[in-house]
Amino acid sequence: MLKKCDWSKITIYTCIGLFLIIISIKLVVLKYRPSQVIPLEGWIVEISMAGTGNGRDLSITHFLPPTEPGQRIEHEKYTGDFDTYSTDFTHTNRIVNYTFDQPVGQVSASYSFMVVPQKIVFDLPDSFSVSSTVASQQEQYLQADTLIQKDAPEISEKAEQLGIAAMSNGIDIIRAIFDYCHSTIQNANFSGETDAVLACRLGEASCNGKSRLFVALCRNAGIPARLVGGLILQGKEKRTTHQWVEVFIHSKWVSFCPLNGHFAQKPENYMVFYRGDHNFFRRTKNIKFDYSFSLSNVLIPREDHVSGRKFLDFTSVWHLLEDSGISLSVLGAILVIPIGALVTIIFRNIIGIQTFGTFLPALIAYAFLGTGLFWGALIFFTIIAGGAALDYLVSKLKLLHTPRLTILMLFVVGCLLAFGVWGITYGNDTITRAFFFPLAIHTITIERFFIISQERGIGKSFSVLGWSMLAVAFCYMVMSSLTLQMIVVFFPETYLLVLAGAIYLGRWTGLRVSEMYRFRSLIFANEPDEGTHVN
Amino acid sequence: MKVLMSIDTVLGINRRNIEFVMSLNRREHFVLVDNKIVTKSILEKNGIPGAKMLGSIDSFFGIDGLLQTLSEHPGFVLKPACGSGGNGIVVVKKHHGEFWQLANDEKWDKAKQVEHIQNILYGTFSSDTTGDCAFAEELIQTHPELLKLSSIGLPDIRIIIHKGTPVISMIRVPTRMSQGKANLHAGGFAIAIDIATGITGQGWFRGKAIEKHPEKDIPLAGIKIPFWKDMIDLCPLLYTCFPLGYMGVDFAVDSSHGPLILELNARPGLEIQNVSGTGIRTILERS
Repeated sequence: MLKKCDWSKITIYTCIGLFLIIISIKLVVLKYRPSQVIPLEGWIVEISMAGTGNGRDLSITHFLPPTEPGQRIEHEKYTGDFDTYSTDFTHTNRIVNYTFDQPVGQVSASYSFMVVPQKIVFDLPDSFSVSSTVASQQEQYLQADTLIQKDAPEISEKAEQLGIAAMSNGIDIIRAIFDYCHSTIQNANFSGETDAVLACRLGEASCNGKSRLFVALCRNAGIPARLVGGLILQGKEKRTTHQWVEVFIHSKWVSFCPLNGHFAQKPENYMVFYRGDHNFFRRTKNIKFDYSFSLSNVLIPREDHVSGRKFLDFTSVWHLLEDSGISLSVLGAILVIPIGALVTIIFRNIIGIQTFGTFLPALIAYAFLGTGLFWGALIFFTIIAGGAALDYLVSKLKLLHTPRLTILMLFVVGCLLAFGVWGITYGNDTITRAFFFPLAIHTITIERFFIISQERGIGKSFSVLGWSMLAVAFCYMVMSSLTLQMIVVFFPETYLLVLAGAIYLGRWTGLRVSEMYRFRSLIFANEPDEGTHVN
Repeated sequence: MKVLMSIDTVLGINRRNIEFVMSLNRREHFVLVDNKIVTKSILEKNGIPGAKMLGSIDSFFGIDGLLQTLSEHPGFVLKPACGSGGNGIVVVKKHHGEFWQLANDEKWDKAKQVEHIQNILYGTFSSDTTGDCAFAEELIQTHPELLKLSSIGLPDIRIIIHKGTPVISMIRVPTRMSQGKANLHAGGFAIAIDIATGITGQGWFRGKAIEKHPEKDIPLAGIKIPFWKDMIDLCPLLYTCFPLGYMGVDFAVDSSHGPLILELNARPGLEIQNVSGTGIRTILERS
C-alpha cells in the first residue's frame, strides 16, 4: 500500500540505515551496553503526618528505612512544624522522633527520601537441617510473643497437620509453611491486628496475620523467623504499610511474602522500613493523628551509580542537558511526545477516528503524566463538559468570538485552581498536579466541542470526545513507559525511526478501518447462492 | 454471510488526499475555490453562470451598508466566503420590516443579523482563523422539476471532475428534518445521477439505500435532471479556469437562469460512492 514515491522511500530507508549505523557504532565501537545506560527506577516517598495536640506536648516516632542490599536510601529530608527531631537506632532499626512543645491547633511533619530498590532473588540450598541450637543473635527469633504464639496448641496442631515433624529438610518445611500461609489461608482485608492463632482459626488474614502465622510455624519448627515491615512501591498515594517475613537459612535472612506469593525473593518494589513486630508509628496517646504516604516514580541516571566511565557520546540528550537543572523524568516525558503523536497518526489515518485537534491527544496524554490516566481523564472530562455547558449559556449573551473564548479560559483557570486547592486541602497530591494542566489545550477543546455540538449535535460532540479520550489513553500508555522515555533520551537516534514511521504513515493510501465500515455496502456483499454470479 | 467483494474499488480518504488532492491540486490554487468570492469573480470573468452577488464586506464597518443593500432585495443567501460544509449559510426568504424570515421560518432581528455577520467576519465558520468575508447572493428559485423533490431549501447537484472529465454525480436534497440544508449529515438525502444520461438512480439517506423520498411518497429513480448536458459541457471549461485536477462542483438549477454554480471544492467528500453504489477508485484510475 505504500505509494511508489522515490523520495519517500529513499528517506525512509536512509532514516533506518542511519539508525542502524549509529546503533552499531554505539554497541560495537563505543561498547555501549543498554543495561548500563537505561537508568534505574527510583521512588520519591513522602510520609506526611498531622496531629492536634490540644496544648499538650506531642511526640511522633516512626521508623526510617535502612540502606542495605536491595535498597539505597538518599536525599532524606525532615520538614514540618516540630520543635526538634532526632534519629536513633533501636536494635536493628532506625527511628526518628519529632517533638512539638505544647502545640496549639494542628501541626504537621513530613519525611521524604529517595529509594532505589532492587530485586533480590535468594539462592537457597537444596536442603538444610534444622539445628537444635542456634547462635545467640538468632535466639530471639525463636521465641513466642503476644501476637506470634508459636507454642499455642493451634499452631502445634497445624504444624502436625502439615507433616512438619516428619520433614528433615528445612527447605521442605519452609515450603510447606509457605504454601499453607499463601494458598490455604485466604487473603482478606482486615484493618487492625491479627495474631497468628486468629489467622489460623479464621483461615483468612491480611498481610500481618499471614506473616505472623508464617513466623509462628517457622519458630515452632525451630527455624528462626522474623517479621519485616515496609512499603510496596506502587501507585501514588497510600495509607497502609506491608508486612512480610524473613527466615534465617544458612547464615542469611531470606525474604518470603505469604500474601503476594514471593518465595525466597524480595521484589523490586518492596521497600524495608524495619524488622520485628512493631507498629510503624508511635505517638502521644489520645491525639487526633493522620498520615499518608505519597509516592512518585523517578529515573536516576546510571552515571551516578556506575563508577568510572561516563558515556560521553554525542547522541545522548541527557548528557547535553544534565547541567541545565532539568530532571531526567521531565526530559524523558517531553522527548516522548513525538512518539505519542505517531500513535495519534495511527488513530486518525489507519483506524480513522476523529479526534479534537491533530495532536491534542498526545499533548493531553503528556499533561496526564503528572496525574495518572484515571484522575487526569476525570478532571479533563469534568472541565470539558462544564466548559461546554458554560459555552452554551454564554452563547445566549451573543458575544463576539474572542471575548467568548476569554470567558472559557477564565472558567478553565478557575477549575484548575479549584482542583489544585482541593488536592492540597485533602492531601491528594495527584489532584493538586492538575493545576499544571496546559490551559490552552482545555480551552481549545471546549471551543471545538461546542462548535461540533452546534453543527452536528451534542451526541456527535460527545462521540468525538470519547474517541479522543481513547486516543489519549493509548498515547498515555505509550508515553508513560519509562523504558521508552529513557530509550529516547539515551538513544535519540530512535527519532530516525519515528521520522521513518511518520513518512510511511504519511504516504499510506489504504482504507481506514472506519472506512471499511462506512463503505461496507460497497466492499462486502451477501454470499451468493449456488449458481449465481456476483460481479 | 457477508463476503469481501472488492476493497480496491473504493476510494478512501488517504488515497484521495495523496493520489488525487495532493498530486493533482496545487496548494496555491486552493484559494480559487476555497474563497467563494474569488470563485465568483473567476466564473464571471469566464462567462460561467453563477448565483448573482448582491454585496460583500470584509470588515465590521461595512455591516450597516450590507444590511442596507440586502433590505432592497426580497430574499437572499448570506454566506461566509471561506466556509465549508454549509456552515454559516443563512437563507432569507423574505423581510418583515427589519426582521429576516429564514428558510426554516426562524425570525432574526437586527441584533441577531449583526451578530451573525460579525461571526462570519471573525472567521467562526471558516478554517482561516484570521477572519473572513461575508457576502450575499440572490435567492435561487428552484427549477420545477427539482421542486417536486424538495419544497424547502435548495437541492444541489454535485459532480466530481477528474482532469476536466465528469466521473460521478449525485443530487443532494434538503428535507424538513434537515431544516432546509442539503448536507447529508444534517438530515438531507442524496440521489445518484447517471453521468451519461443525467437520470437519477437509487437514493441514500442516513446510511441506507432508499428508493422513495423519506418525506413524500415519490420514487427517486428515473428523474431527468434539467440542463444536464449544459452542466456536463461546463466541466472541461471549469478545469481550464480552475486548474484543479480533482475537484467537486456544486450546481443549482434556477427556474429562470438554468444551471448556476454555487461553489467548487478542492477536497470533495467520498460519500458520493455510497450514494451511487459504486467505488470511484477504478473509475478515476481509468480516466
